[in-house]
Amino acid sequence: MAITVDRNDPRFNMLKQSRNLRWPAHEADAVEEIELCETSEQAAEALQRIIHAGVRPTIRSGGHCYEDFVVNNPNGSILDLSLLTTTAMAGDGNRHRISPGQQLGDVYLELYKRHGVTIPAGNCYSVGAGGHISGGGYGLLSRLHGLTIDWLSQVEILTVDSKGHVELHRVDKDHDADLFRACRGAGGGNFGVVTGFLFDRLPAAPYEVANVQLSFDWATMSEDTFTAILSTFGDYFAHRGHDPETWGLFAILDLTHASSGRFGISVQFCNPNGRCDDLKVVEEFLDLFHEFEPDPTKAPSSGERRLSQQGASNRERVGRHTVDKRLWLDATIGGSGGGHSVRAKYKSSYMRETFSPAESKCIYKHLTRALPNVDLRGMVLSVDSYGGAANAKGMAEATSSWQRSSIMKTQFQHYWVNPAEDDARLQWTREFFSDLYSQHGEPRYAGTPYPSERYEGCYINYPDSDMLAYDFWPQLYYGDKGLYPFLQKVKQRYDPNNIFHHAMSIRA
Amino acid sequence: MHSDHRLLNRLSRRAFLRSTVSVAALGQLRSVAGSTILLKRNAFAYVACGQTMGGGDGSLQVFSLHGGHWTAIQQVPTRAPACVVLSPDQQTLYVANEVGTHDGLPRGTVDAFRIDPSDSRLRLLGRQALSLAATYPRQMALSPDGRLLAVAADGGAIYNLLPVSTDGSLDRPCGIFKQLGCGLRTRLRTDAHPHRLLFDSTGKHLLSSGFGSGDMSTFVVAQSAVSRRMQQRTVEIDHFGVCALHPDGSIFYALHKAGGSLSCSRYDSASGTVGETIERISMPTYGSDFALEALAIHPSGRMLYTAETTHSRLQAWHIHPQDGHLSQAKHIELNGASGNEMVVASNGESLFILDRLRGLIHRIAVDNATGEPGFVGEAAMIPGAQSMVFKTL
Repeated sequence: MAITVDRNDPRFNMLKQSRNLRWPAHEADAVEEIELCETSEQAAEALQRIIHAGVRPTIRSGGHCYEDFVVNNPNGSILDLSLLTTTAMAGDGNRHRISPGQQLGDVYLELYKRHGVTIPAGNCYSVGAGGHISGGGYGLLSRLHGLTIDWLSQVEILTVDSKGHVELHRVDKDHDADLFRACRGAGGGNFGVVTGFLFDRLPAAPYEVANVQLSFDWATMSEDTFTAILSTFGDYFAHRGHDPETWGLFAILDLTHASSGRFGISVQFCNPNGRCDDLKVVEEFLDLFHEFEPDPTKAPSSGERRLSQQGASNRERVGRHTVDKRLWLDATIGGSGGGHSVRAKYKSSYMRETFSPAESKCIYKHLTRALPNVDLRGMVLSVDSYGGAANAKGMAEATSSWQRSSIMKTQFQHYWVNPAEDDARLQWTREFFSDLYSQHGEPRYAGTPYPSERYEGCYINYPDSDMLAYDFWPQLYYGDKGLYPFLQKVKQRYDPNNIFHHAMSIRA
Repeated sequence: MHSDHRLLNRLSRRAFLRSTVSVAALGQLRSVAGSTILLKRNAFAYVACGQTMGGGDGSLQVFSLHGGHWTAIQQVPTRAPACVVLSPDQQTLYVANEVGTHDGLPRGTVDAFRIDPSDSRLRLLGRQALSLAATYPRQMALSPDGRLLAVAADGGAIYNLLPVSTDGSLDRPCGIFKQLGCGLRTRLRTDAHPHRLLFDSTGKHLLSSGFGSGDMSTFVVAQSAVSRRMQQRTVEIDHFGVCALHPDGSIFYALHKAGGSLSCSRYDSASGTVGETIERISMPTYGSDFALEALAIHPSGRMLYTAETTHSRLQAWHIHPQDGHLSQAKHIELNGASGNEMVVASNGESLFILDRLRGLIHRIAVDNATGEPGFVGEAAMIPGAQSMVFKTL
């Protein structure tokens, strides 16, 4: 039996909430109970009980959902899979199993220690595998190895048929292939409860990586220099970044608010063979920014996803730069805990081209715009390098992660503590995003990165309920080339009663 | 002399009548079909008009009914109104908006309107969103004390309980229940579609007939939460459609749309249980699963009415006072109109029949003591009419 935590249980107040402390938005929105499941059998039994009771289930693995999809569930039940961490089952054969409750850091440890392999997933230790992989799963190795779902071979998923019976499916490219594709990137909470991800093979974990951080001083930052830095970053991935030789380089441009003092770039690199024997790609990349006089000794502020600076490292000169070489596992799990729970708002976009001058100026304008009586140091626009193996041909059709021609991926992150600042901070973030994505494109899509020659919409694992204001929000997350209608058909077939739903789930 | 005696009896029972309705009203009596019926007393009709094939403009329309005439006194634009319910004190009107999206989220809404006591016009109190995925609400029921509004959303097959504040406005849903289809009659629907909703006389149980789920459920309402007490789900039950409880709360009547029958069952309001079937009467459906549409019971508990769409005919049934058995009383031709919905005015003097396709509302005069239907009275043409309630004075 699952562990039931109801409102009388001392654990309830902790477990009812999200890591994003904005949710549940009101006490009345909180669930009635949480069902903690340690096995897939327990998950099936608890789900069946929930369905029979006429209650809405929402699914949680790591609890990192950015929006209210899980914990805003009045009268409902959270099916919490954080204890479902099985790493091997009879019948798995030589396959690698990842369970939804496993945290990414534990997945890295497990796969590395047992098999010397890894998944190209995120760099926050405590993110749960269930939601992360369901939405695509990308991270520092994605330019080198693609998305996590690109390696996925089979998914075990509980669905609920038209009569309310819970069924276990093992789906792959030959069995329920439509559901399998939907499970590869459409996002969690849409079709059922994933109880296991299986991989026939996975890439070898790198032996070591090189880390570098550069930062720039806001105090002396002109609009022209800022624009030039952004263009330099974007131009690299728009051109040089297509060369497979560079795919081991993953860079994050963390654009913080001017009040934070500094913004900067974090780099992780390894050669395609997983070693750091030849660092000329890094040197070449860093040289591009030399004219902007970066300071490699002062770390920029950043969001939850800053690269680890902890653990033993070997400092090495590369031309006029110094890099820290670390063993990959140390670099990947050291200090990347994901931070503590705060209030937060997120937005995202995929960029197919480098920054235009208009975009850079718009970003500069907002990052230097003050908000009366509000400390904006908790705001960062992270611009991740993208492309490389993540843009592998054929994967758009084989998976539900359709954005396969972007060179950068942005994540607007805004963190704060005081609930009284909610409205002002949310408004500030909305205005920033809307203004930035009104610089180009068709007027009817103004305010959004609607799929075009410049943009590829938004990332479903960085959901933003503000996009619901647009009737074309599904096209922002699933494109306008037929993926969304396909997912709707899968939804109708495998979840005919729309049991699994949230604010941005696939509409039945 | 006989008529006067009956009138006095009626007046003595009509505790709800305001004292101001006295001599002036009595002066407007006229005799129809051997019965003395008040025809000219004021009433107000609140009609939900949706955007349908029959026309309509998505509004609430308010009419004053006087002397056989319907006079439009107000039109309130609102989103796809599908069902209207009047509070027991006749001071608040609730309107289900049959929409699939509200504020970008998949959910329907319910509007609450204050009825101005001076002129019976509507003033919006507020709009309450339903729970996520509770889309296209079509049915509502108010608890007898008027403190809880139950809403059935057709789109998500989800029931919501909304607390009613002291001013009549609605709070956010406090009880939510999701119903599933059983797939018994796959040629119809396999997913659940709540069809009719009603509270029993205790207010502790909510009864729902479903279409597609092929079932009839009773729910326990306790501490503003809702849980299912029982679910009847057999092929024989064959799709409960429209249903009603006898005013004394002990008999449950239902029209079975697909099978074409009218059933009468015992109902235990203490436990919220529909018991044994007392009687089942076959009714012709003329080949249409959707022929049996409307059922209503007179407040006296002495007469039951059914209407169907293929034959434009109203059938009245005597209700046996001891055991609830039905026997045919009379039928009335509706001049080509269908009966999709029937409402008996709370004063028991009129039966209103709605033909949604044509946007026609017929009024049949009814003996308020016996429920005996009289003549087919005036008709109002209201394109797009979906649902109606009547405030009586």
